[in-house]
Amino acid sequence: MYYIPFIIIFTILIIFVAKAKPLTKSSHKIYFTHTDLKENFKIASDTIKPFFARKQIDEKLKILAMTPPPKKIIYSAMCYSMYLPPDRIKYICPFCGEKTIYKGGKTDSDWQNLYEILEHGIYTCKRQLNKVEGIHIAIDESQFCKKCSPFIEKPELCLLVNIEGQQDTTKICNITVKDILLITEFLNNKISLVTGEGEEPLLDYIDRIQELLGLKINNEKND
Amino acid sequence: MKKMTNSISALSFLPSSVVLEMTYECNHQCLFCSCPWEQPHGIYNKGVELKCDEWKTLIDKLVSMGVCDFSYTGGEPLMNKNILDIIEYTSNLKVKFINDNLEQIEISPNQYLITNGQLLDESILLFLKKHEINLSISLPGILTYRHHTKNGNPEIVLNWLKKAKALGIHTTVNITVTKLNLFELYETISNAFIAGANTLLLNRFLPGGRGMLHLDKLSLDKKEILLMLQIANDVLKKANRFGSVGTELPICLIKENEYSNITVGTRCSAGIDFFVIGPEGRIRTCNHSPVQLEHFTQIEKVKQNVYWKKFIEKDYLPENCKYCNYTYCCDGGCREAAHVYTNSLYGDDPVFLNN
Repeated sequence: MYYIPFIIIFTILIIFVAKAKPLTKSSHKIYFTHTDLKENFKIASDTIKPFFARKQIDEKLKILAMTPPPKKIIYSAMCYSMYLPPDRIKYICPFCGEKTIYKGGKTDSDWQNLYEILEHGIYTCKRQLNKVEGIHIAIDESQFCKKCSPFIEKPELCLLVNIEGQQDTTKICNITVKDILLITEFLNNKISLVTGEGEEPLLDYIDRIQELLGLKINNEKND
Repeated sequence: MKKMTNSISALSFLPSSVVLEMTYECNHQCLFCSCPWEQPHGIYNKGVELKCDEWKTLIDKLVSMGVCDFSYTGGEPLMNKNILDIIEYTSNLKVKFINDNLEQIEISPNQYLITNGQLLDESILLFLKKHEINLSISLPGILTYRHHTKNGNPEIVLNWLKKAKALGIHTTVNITVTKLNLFELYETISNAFIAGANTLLLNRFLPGGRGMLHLDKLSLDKKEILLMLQIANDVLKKANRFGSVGTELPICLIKENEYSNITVGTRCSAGIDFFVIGPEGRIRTCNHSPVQLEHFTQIEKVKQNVYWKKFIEKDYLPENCKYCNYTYCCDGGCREAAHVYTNSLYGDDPVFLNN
């Protein structure tokens, strides 16, 4: 009978050890058998020590370089926009919040213009127009949303301008980013437009500026 | 005759990729951790973690709305004891997807597990192989690993990279670069690729979470960021491998340099290409953001949320960038990091404030 307490203590110890969770191993459901593991992990060594000598590292990298790089996986959840192939682009409407997907051909010039507008044209226009003060000027992008404009076949970006003293708001469509640059530079009292292609005098575009702003500008010389 | 533009309404307004933060818990105490709930005196409201069935309901909802890429993170996702069950559940779903011909087809979701690797075991690797899950493992240094993480062992990470390679699992080594581990970045990246990593995801330390307590120790200045990119590109070029930087950088910082083997982005894609759902089920624009929007059960309301719309419309350009000629291709650096650091979404990227 004297051994009964020892049996009880031993039993409790066994139960305790069986229930104890290891500190570093997870407690996930077991999906594979011991045989599966043995079959798939026939790797001689379980340990790998890091290399610190630069020469040794470079030799290893050289060997690695002889193998082809793995197929690229586009990891969408990175914080920055990945460059998408230019035959498909999405547009999110700021009014209804819905998304429209566009597709075109890489060699199609209409598609290239559309892609340009959607990829960065719209928000570039908005950012440019933020530099303009003292005039009501905005873009109308509603044609790009399939939900807001379901029957538009060829969407265009439009400009809405209302200058103080004018009764009506001027609306002109099929505008480009360059058009926006022209009027913002003009309204900021610049005399030339500087782009990646060089510097051009705004005077060369006076008719277009006039058309965009819906007003006639007197550019005749006084004798 | 007007030519018809090929277009179709998407299944929903949601980005096609989601990052699911499976738990607040973690077996590391990383100095650089940007999880917003770890920020002392932060605004993040830690609610009750979702249960397994709730995660499945959430994933069903996202799949029905066209989300097709699922990344599991945390905290440490393997601390969620139901993670494998949830991954398996997702693997068996079919997502409606708009293909390149603008036809609606059904595909299997793409899944990614982002982990510190310390809780991996062979059976989990086999599971990942079976379900074609991409594995991303964190390696914030080798000599400085333990100093950064307070727990764990870099050799364990290298071993899992080796074993994953043997099984044919696609692996990404995820390296957060700080002032403390920059000196060994060459060795860290090299060892990860020698062990078997397929690609590199390089993250510069950004203020947020627990990292707010260690800003002086960890923050990289402009020169250090350029050095980080140069080192990474050098190693990748030598190894004939490729990688990318995980957060956008201001273009004025990098435009004089070219990187042949590492992709550096300059535009924010939060809310556009991806979004985040926290452990309690609330939606955020990105994992750096402490701003919690609607709960997933009210997901439709997010599209009219004022804060969400700022990201959709890219209405967050810093005041100092307003007159820059590159605003067509640059958002002035990481917006949420700027928000956390300066309390304003229109603030400068922290790199401009660290010199």
